[in-house]
Amino acid sequence: MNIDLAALNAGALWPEYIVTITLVVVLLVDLISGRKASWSLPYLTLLGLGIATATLLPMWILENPVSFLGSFTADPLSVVFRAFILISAALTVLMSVRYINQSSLATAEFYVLLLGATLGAMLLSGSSEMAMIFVALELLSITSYLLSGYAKLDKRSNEASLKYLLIGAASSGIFLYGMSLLYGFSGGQTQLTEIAPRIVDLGFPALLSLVLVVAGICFKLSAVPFHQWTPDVYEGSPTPVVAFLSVGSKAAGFALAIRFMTSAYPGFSEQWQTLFVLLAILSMVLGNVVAIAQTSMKRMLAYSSIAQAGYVMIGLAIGTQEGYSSMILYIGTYLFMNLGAFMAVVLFSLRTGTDEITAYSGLYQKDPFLTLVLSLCLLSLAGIPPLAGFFGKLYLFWAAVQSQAYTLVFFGLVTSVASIYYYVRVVKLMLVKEPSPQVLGYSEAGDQDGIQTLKAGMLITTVATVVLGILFPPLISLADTSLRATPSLQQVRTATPVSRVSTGAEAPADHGR
Amino acid sequence: MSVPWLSLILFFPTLGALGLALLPGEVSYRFARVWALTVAGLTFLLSGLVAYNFDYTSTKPQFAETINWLPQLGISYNIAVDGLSLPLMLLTGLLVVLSILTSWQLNKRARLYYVLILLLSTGVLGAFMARDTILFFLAYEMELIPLYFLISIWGGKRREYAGTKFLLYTFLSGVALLVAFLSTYFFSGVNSFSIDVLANPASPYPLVFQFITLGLITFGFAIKMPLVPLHTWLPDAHVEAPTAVSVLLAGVLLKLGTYGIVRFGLGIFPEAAAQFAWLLSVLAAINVVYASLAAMAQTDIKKMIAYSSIAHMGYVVLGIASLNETGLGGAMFQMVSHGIISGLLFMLVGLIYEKAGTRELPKLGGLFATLPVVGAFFVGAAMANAGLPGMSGFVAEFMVFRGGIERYPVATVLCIFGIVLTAIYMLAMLARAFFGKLPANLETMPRVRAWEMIPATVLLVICVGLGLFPTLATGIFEPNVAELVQQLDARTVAQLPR
Repeated sequence: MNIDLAALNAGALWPEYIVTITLVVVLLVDLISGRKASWSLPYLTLLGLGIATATLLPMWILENPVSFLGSFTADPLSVVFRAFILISAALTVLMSVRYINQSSLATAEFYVLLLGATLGAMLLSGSSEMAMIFVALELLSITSYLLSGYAKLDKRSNEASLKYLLIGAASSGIFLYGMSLLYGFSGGQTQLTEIAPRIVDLGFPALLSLVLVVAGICFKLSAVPFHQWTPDVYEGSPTPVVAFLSVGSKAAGFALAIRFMTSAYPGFSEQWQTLFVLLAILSMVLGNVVAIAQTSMKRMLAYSSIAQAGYVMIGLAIGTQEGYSSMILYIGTYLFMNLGAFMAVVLFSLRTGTDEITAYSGLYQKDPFLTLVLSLCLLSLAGIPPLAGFFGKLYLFWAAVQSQAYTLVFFGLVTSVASIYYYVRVVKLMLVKEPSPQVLGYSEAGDQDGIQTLKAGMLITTVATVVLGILFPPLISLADTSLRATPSLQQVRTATPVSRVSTGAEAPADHGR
Repeated sequence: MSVPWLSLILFFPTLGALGLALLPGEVSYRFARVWALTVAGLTFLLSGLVAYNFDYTSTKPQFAETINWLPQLGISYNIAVDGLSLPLMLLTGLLVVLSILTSWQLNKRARLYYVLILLLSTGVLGAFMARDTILFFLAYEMELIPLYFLISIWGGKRREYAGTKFLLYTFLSGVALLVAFLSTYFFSGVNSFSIDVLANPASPYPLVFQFITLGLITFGFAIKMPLVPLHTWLPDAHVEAPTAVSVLLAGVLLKLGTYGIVRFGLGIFPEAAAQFAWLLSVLAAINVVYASLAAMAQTDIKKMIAYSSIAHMGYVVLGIASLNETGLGGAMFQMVSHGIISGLLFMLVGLIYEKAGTRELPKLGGLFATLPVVGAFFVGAAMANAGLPGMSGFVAEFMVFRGGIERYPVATVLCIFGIVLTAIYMLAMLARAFFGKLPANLETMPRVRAWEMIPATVLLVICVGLGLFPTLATGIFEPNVAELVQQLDARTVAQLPR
């Protein structure tokens, strides 16, 4: 086959190339200088991720987003999600430095695997062709299995990895089966947009493939009832890995969900929206209710992340312009608050060796900074104003009310009131109670290199959690622009039953002076 | 727009709190209290400056600042003061300063304590200044968390129970308000949360919608005020809270409830308010009588004062229910007066507890021998609380009764009866605590030093000052109250034959 190089439009994947180059460089540096240079690997990784982000930004709106003959679509939607993934990978690196040093395991492998997962997630956010989707998904999944088993001397990490692998392989199979049905029904098409017109009239067979595909995607989103692996994997895996899985991997899953649903199933939007309504309600209810009963911080955050994914799915379930835009915003805020919480958990367990919730008692008296970071992130996850999480939820619910999805809003409101209980319980323990034995024995004396990067990461996430709420308007317009410029979402209906006569308040006359 | 005065007043305490929180190294309680006092003092000074430049003849919101914050959602950062919010803003500024003076000796985790007090004052000031319902809600919620920690860290024995109870009740109140605000937003069809826009809809809201929303708003604010039977969190919170926090709680935070009813209830839903005002008057009467009787039955002085404070909030509600100029003016006056008198009472109770080590009436007696100055102040405060002429309470309560008697004779008479009850329990308490024989174990109790009386003196002077020169306060809110009543009449007369 003769392919014109220009038609490949290979330039759209520059960020991915840079991530790949970084991966190779990290491997080579480790190979050549061995242990001597292992301190430099995280910074090399950060540098690579930074350059990748820098090359990504000018691609905001490409004239021709289609590259590799339609395998990859570098539209603004993919740019937003790739940026989320790069940021979450960079923040994960910040929190891993000390963790990896302390675990005395091979350093290079961790960063290589993390870069591999990042690459897979980024490719997944832009893939628009089934073979590409599957390859990207497997790249993300396999590196994730390896990452969760990274602490190879720890039994629980091994268990987590094996569980993740088994359930992941099964769900990949289901996903692949759904795609193979699509391939057959559409007469051998693999392009999502080409499939859509060919399956519109199919009825039940198309719905069968829809259900299988949604099941496969929901495994990545850890939506109830495809969430069973989440708590065990989160509890056993190294904490930085969990942080990446709960944010970067989920963001990629949501990008895939949006693209797959709107490109391949625009004719079945009612059906898949109903599916996601159910999934969203189940996730919000089960995630929040079970989180209340947890005694381990990591398990609590695992269930909390299930519930948070449920909130994000509200945007998908209503399927309007505002819905997608509020999804993007919520993922953006969730990224910072969730990673911030995980950073605090990493720091605490580095110093005390535990992640029991009761061990956090009285932490304020020993470490106000850590308490502040964890409190703000948890309160933001709970949706307490004026933090970013509140505005994220407000916008989601606002979008849902606009499309008359009152059931979703009802469940969203009720479950978020319930969620306040378990988030605030931790804050209360830290501030109000007398110190626990672990906290009494708490010392910063053991701190060595790598703690500073962790603290820098905590500072970044906390500032973002506080400030993003105030800076919401530009972010909303950013999300809106990215959606409007995304071809596959052009046909999405914009629900505006509420007339927008006046924009904002009429300023009362200034009589002061 | 020149200098954003209100934003300065609003965020100066926050900046002060941040600065105090982020100072490196250990901070001694001496430094922390001076820092907090300076910040609060400057904030109060700034509010004084605003009051000085305030145009007392105008009813318009002044010093307005508007930034379109979330234009997509119609949320704006819109703050201003008018005659209704200015007195409460000044009261807040003053009581924050005095409460810091009251807790001058505190050295348990002082840095966090003052950080929380300053954050609390931002929340309260923001709620009084907000001209946007969502902004109000944000401020209203923001005040919740610092207060929760103030009670559950520095409180008495059952502090965690009291703190959690407060948190749950107030959170419920916040949810009710948010639902009411959001439904008004969606119902009005204008993409705005601004009070001024929502209060003047293109066509009046249907009455059924008004009843439901006003019901939610009243429920939300009734928890905050609190109105019987939603009051049970307050006595617990007061008994467990440290003195300074009680002063702020009774002095300022309860006013958020009554202010909210005037601003949002009467302001946005006048038709429904006019029809349902009688219900408020019934609630007010029940509140006054029940809480006064409950106060009578207490043996803990602080709990007695707490119930007395609940009872006196009933007068504000009666004043609001009267819907006429005198009554509403009385309600506004009573908000200020109640803030000063109950603040004063809590300070004095705090002093007794600090010196005698107990607040239980059976264990007290003859305190005039050891605490003569506190005793004298207490007599004054008791008189003020019972509405003795010459004190601010008299003016306020007289206005409320004058406004209420025509419309609700029965409720008003019951409320007047509440004054008698107040006099009875205040005098009985004075007799048991300050007269009679001093218990032997109290003979060696520490005496009060002169500077400890400064905050109480300030409040007593203001109380007498407002009693003798009531126009000092009425002059501020009179135009706005008149305008509010005019609007009520105009909107309701057109609708309802009466």
